[in-house]
Amino acid sequence: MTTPRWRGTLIYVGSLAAMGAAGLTKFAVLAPPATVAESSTDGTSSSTSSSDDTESGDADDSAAAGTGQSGSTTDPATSTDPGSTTSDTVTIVGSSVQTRYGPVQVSVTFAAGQITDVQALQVPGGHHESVQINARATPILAQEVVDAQSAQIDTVSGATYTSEAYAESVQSAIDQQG
Amino acid sequence: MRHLELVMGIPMSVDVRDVVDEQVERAAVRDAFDRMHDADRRFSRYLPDSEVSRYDGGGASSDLREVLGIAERFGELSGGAFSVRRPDGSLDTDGVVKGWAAQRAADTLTAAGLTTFCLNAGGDVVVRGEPEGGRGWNVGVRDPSDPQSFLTVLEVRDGAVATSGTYERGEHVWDGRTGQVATGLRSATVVAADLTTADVLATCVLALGPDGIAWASQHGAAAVLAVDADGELLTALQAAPA
Amino acid sequence: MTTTTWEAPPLAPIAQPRPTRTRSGVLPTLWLGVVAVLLFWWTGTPTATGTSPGGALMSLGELAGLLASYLVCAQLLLIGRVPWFERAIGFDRLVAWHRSLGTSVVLLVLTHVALMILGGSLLDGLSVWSEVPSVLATQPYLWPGLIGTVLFLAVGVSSARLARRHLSYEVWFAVHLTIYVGIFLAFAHQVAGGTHFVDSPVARGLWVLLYAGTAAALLTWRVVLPLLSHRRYGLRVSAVVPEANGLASVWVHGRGLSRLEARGGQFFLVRFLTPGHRATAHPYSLSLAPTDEHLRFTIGALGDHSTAVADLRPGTKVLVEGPFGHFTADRATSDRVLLVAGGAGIGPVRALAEELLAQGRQLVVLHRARDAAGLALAAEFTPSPSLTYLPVPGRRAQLGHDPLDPQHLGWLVPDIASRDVFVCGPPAMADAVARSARALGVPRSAIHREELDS
Repeated sequence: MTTPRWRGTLIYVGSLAAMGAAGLTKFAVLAPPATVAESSTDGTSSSTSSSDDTESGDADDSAAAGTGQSGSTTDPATSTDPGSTTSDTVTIVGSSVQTRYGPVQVSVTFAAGQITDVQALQVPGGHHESVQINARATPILAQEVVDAQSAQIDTVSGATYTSEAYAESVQSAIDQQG
Repeated sequence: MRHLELVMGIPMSVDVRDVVDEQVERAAVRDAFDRMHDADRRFSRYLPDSEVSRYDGGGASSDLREVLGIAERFGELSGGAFSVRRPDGSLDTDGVVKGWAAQRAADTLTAAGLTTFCLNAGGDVVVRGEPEGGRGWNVGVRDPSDPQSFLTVLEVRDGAVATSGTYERGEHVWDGRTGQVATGLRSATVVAADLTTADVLATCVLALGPDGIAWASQHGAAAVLAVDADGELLTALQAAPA
Repeated sequence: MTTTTWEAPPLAPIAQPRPTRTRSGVLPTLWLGVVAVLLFWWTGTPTATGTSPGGALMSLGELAGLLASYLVCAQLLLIGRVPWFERAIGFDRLVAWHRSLGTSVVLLVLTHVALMILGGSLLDGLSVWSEVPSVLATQPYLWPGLIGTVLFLAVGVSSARLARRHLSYEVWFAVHLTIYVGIFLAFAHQVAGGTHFVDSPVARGLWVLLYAGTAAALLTWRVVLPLLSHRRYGLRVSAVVPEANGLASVWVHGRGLSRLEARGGQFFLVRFLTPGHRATAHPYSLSLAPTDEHLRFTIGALGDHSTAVADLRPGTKVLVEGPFGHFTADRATSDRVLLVAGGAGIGPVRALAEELLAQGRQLVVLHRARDAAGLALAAEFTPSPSLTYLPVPGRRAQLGHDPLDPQHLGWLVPDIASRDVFVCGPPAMADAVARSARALGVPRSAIHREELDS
């Protein structure tokens, strides 16, 4: 009977504090209010038809991209200026795309103008799998095939539902970068 | 301009690169999507009062006759492997309608004077023109076992790319000869001049299995790319047009 | 006779008073593990996850789940009879930690579920209520997680102090066993769908290792070794002897028992292999210094299982785990010792007295009971120059005073300040004796207590 009465609860509270501290340290860096606002606005847009790329939408996106860049660049020393992007490593947050399973949003990292990494920020169902753009196949179709590593992908075949939305969000990030 | 909209519950997008009057672009895109929504309403198996649901083998609209005609033609060509009759006997025109409707939407854009665009109907793609001078549209072909990577990237001008697979929506393609679900291939990608053909051929290849790859290249496919059950990549290629 | 001590085992006789609660090292070790889990989470979480509030909440939810899993494994190891832990910390303290962590684990599991649902609903743009059916429909691996959560809750609730008072040991134990199913299901949903494991074989390997290591420890020390020792010692009930009111002694016969290296004052987890007893193991103290052939447990009418030992038939096979406990003769720091026993506490005190006498110490045994009929084993304390036996029967109301208050205890044992005080009995009695002894000048380090759960 001498189990200290509140010890279990105290350990829990300690764990919560540790979680909070870890979460703040991890995420506070990349959660500038503007970006959050942008994603939440897009996340609530109509699920039946979400139109992007109106002029105002573009303006929103680039504004968000500016914040995203300053907050999330992996090389802060060289990429504080959102304008100089070609030689820097820059991470850009794509717009949130609504699918039947929920919103999809990615961030795309460019190094020297090439996509080096794509991270899923919002995925229906909560899978945060990283998107690796890598070519498994060698160029087999002669003139019709380009190197996946160096290509700017314009669109994706075979990508339905969420994968399509991935491409959409990636594309919006590419547009912002462009 | 880019525009994304859900049609048939699937995200469909169009990316127009023409430099013309924006009002014209918007009107054309609106028109194209309206036609796809219209096709969805008329051919949906899930709407009880759709034309497909009410069709009893008797009189049909010209559109339905056209769709059934395409189905019949490829049914014969594939030796019965392709069929719009489900194993339970009900009519399922999805195998034709998605590609056909998207191709018709693309035709609407062309008719409105647009020459450089990419229309992606849930993974089935129609492209026209070149997004940048000297370069076609880069179409990434999804790896069936990994939604985030590509089997390859195809550069396409004025053509269509359709992929049919057992992944995303499960095994939804059956072999009309046996009524069994097709499992020989995980995915089949067909490049053809128009999306109606590419889409139906991709479904045929999936239904026929590995044998369908060579068959498709004799029936309108410019290129066929398939992944078999073991994850092996199989290809067939029509000589590139001069 | 679940037993607990406040005092850490003194390693050597030290005369001066020491702090009451020496550090067991459990807490620092636990926090080290928590830090390791935090690092594990940190390296597996892309910073970009936190860009949306939903993503950040879900990621923290995953962290809560990871911490809960880690603490569950820690909990299992604590009660895994791992000899290293038993020696360093002591069975009773391990059980206490196991209970404390149980609270933390259940709260963390609930936090995990809440954060996942809340974060998921933000991400999917659904209400919290429609998020649950939606994710269960699209992610089948969450079903094991859901069932596991329910089992964790059931075990947590059944182990709460309030519930324990109303549940029989057997019911509680049966519910408790289902936690293994819960843990397995929770593990299954982690490796099947956990963000940290789906993509990373290394992370998955580490996680499997944590669980496999825990399972291996449990199998080794809670299943395989007890069964081996069962074969080796061949323990069987040889006699059941009624002692005083509600107390009975169970004699257990075996061979080569000196290899158990049990000492007076220690206890075993005892399981009688007969219907009605098979399912549960109870902590019983030795009431006689063990011989090579015999163990004797004197069992009080405490709990609902103990009372039934009078029905045990000679020849019944017995499984034991142990010995456990630090209520032993080597803790005495002085040549003179006061032993205070209450109720069933007379058993361990009897065994302890035997060993202390053999060490040449001078003893006073103070035996409290409600009435004279409750003075079990009294005949075994033969007065001698080195043993004074003081039976103190009678309720406080009848006596008109508390014989264990400082004044009366001082009268009974005038030289108490120069003695080690061993007390074994109900918690309230142990508290009273400890308080009085302190008031009479006994240093904390010379007070050794073993409490009997009532």
